[in-house]
Amino acid sequence: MSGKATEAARLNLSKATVLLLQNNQAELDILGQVFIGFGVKAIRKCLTLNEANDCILKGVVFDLIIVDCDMPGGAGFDFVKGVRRMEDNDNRLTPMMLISGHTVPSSISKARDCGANFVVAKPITPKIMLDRVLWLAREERQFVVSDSYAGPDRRHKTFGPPAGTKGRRHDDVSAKLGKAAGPDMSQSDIDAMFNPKRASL
Amino acid sequence: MKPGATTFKYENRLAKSVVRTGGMSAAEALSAAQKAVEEVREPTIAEIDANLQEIYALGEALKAGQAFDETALQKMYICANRVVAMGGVFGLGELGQAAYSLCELVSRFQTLERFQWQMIRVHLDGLKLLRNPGDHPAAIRDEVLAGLRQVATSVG
Repeated sequence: MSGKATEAARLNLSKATVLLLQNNQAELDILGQVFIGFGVKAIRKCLTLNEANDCILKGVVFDLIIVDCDMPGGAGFDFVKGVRRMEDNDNRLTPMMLISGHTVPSSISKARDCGANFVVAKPITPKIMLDRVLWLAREERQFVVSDSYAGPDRRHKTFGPPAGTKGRRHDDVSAKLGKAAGPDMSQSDIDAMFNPKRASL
Repeated sequence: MKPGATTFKYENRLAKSVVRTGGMSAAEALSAAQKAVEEVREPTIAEIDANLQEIYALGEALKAGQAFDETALQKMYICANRVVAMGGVFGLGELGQAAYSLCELVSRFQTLERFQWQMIRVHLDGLKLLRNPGDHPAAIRDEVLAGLRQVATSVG
């Protein structure tokens, strides 16, 4: 999101519920303070996977879940993956953000495939977190469930299937243009497809 | 995507937090968050220093052993990664970058299952120097960071 978009935004997180999973107390405290500053009143800070799982299973529906990638054994990735697979739990559709310090190569594909909305690099400053929260709030990607993946569509933009391939979705359309199916449209037909509105600049 | 995958639109619960009126502007939210974060400055700086001390102690152990020690290296990686996370929040961003370089170095050692003390040593020296960035001109700090990155990425 551009800086201008962030500057223009107004945020009301006073009724939001946020779950933070981070196994280091000092880092957890920083994150917690950031969200207190953003006006969030319901923050659940969890140092362990068990605490976080309890929160999820107790029926609290979170508006945002933030999980640390750097937990031992890739526990953060497994947590996200697990929640995305909970078909009878509303939290499976909650926006989830991973935060990561140094990432070993073996974790990169895990981060991509666990089902989080995206990964943010540490250090997490208020500015970075605000940008990302606003970004997440405007998220419009569809949710995908398959044998190997559950989470937001990993394609942020749809450019159609790669050239020369048919595509695997029912609504995939090849980027290659075929022959015209009819006469050219008139300029007035084209104009009618737009709905111009006055913009304040 | 495999055949059989389903896609559907869903309600983004966070979307209702972006409002046209009421709430707080981005500037107000940032200012309030920065103020709130300041409340944990002292314990966080103490935590950074505790992690640095542990890194230095592990360095001494690695120097004495002069051998690949997976456990010590893993502990060093974890401590350095915590410095990565916390340094930049309170004006120690360059310290965080040096710690990131140490993570990269240790990660490469772990992959190759070998170890060179001298490469660790220059990182420890860099961390000590960048812990007090005000004592050194920006040009020197940049040089130190560039050197550390060069050392770390030369492995492998």
